[in-house]
Amino acid sequence: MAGNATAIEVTGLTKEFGQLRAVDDLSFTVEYGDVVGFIGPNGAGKTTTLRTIVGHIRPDGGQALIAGHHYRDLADPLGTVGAVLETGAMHPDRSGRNHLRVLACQAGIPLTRVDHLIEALGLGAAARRRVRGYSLGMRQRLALAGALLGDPAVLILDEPANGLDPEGVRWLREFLRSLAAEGRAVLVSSHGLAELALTVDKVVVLGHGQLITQSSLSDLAAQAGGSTVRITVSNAHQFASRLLDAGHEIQGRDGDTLIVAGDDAGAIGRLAFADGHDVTHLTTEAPSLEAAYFQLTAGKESIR
Amino acid sequence: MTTTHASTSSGRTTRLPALVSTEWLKLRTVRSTWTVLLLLPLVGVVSLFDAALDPVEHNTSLVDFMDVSLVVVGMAAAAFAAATIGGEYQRKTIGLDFLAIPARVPVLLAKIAAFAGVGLVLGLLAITVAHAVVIPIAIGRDVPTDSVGEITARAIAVALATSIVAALGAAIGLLVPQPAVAAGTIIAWQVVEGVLGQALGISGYLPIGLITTVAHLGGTVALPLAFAVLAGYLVLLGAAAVAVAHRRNLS
Repeated sequence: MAGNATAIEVTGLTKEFGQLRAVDDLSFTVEYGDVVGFIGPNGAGKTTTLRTIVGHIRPDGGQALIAGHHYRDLADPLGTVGAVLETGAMHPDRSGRNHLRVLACQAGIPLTRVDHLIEALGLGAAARRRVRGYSLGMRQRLALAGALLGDPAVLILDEPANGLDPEGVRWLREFLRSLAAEGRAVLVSSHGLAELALTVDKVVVLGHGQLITQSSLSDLAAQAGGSTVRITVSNAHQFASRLLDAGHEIQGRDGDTLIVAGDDAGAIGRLAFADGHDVTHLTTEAPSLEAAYFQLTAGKESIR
Repeated sequence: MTTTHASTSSGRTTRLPALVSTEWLKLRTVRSTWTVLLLLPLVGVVSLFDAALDPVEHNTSLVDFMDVSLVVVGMAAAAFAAATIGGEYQRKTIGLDFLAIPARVPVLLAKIAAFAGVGLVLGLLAITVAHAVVIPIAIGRDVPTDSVGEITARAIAVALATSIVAALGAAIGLLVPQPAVAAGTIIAWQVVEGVLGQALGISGYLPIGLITTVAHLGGTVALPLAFAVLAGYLVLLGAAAVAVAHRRNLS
C-alpha cells in the first residue's frame, strides 16, 4: 500500500527509565497485509515499544520507522498510521461524534469522513451521546474510528480487545482481518492469546524488553514442539509399548490417554485397530499459541 | 507575524489558527467550559461586597470597588486553563494531538493561544459585569464615576490582562501535567506572590499585582510597562512550558 517500504521497521530499539531497561535492542518488522500479534508478559516492554514507534516516547537507542520514516517526519501522520494506545483517551463529557470532530479538525480531515466512520463502526445511535455513557466496547469502537480517520495503511493497537464481550471480540477479529485483507498492516498487542491465534498471521514475542521470537504462527508451533496426537485406548500401557516399538515418541500419558508426538493420527489409529484396542478418542492437536507462548517466555515474567 | 505549519493527513497544511480553532472546538464541546461562566455572577457578588466594605475616602475611585473581583477572575481563568491542560495529560488525550501533529510545538502554542482567547472573553465579560454592579453603587455613594472613554479603556486593558494571565495558566498546565496539582499551583502562585510582593516591595510588578495596575489604567507602574512585564512573563513561562512539554515522554 505504501511503495516498497516495510510498514513498521524497528531496529535496535532501546529505552531505559532510570535503572529499568524497558526495551532492550529490540528489532522486528511488520509487513503490509499482515496482522501481527505483539505479545509478552506484563512489563515486557510492549506498550513502551508501541509508544516509541509513534513518537510518544523518545528512544535511547535504535529507531522505529513507519513506511520508511520516523513518525515525526511523516508528511501525512494520520494518513499513514492509525494508533489506539489508550482506549480511555477521550473526554467523558464530549460526545462520540464531537470526539471524532476534534481529531478531524486538527488534521484537516473532512467531517464526511467522521460520519462515514461512525456508521461503519456501528456507532450511529450513540454518536451524539456523551462518551461517559459508553460501554467499553463502544469506546473501543470509537477509538478505532479515531485511528481510521486518516484512512491509514498501518494500524497500531494496544490491547484493543481489553474488556470486550465475546461478541465484541469476534467483531474486532473480523474487523482486523478485513483491514489486513485490504492490504493494511496491523500490529496488535494483546493478552488474549487464544483469540489472538484466530486473528494474527505472525507474532512478535517479547520478554524483558528483548525479542524472544518473531515468526508465523505455524513456525511458532514448530518451535514449541509441533503437533501431537491424543489417543484414548482400552489398554494404554500395552499400547504405549506397541507405539514405542513402532518408533513413535510418547510425550505424556493421562489415564488411558496417550499423547504421541507428530500429527499422523491415521497411522496411530490403524496401529490401535490392528492390535485390537478399543479406541474411544483420537485427535491431532496443534500446539496452541498459548502453549508456545508459555514455553518461550518461561522465566521471562516481569512484574512492574 | 510568522505562521506555524504542520503537515496533515489530507496533504494540506494546518496553520496555527486552525489548531487554535480545534482547541476552541474542544472547549465548546464539554460542559465544564460553560460552568466557567458561573464566575460572572460571582464577579457581581464580590464587587458588591467590595463596594459595601470599602470605606469611601477622598481619593476613592470606581475601580477600587472591583479590584478583588477582577483578580478573582484572572486567577480563575488561569486555574481553568491549567486544570484543563493538566486534564488532557491525565486523560492522555494530548497523545491524540501529538499523533496528528508530531512536531508538537504548534499544538502547544495553539493551547496557550486558545486559553488567551478564553481569558480575553472572560475578562471582557467580567469587567462588564463589574461595571454594571459598581457604577450604580458609586453613584449612590457619591464616588466619582469614570468617563465612557476610561471605562472602555479599562475594559480593554482588563480583558487583555486576563487573557495574558489565562495564557500563563495554560503554560503552567503544560509544565504541571496533572489537573489538581496544576490548579493548586495557581493558588500557590497567589499566596507566594502576596508574600514575595510584600517582602520585596515588588507587588506592582508581579502578575496579580499587574491585573490591579491595569484595572487602574496605571498607577505605581505605567500601563505600557505593565503590559510589557506581563507579556515578558508569558514569553518566559510559555517558552519554558513548550520546551518541557515538547520533550516530555507520554508513557
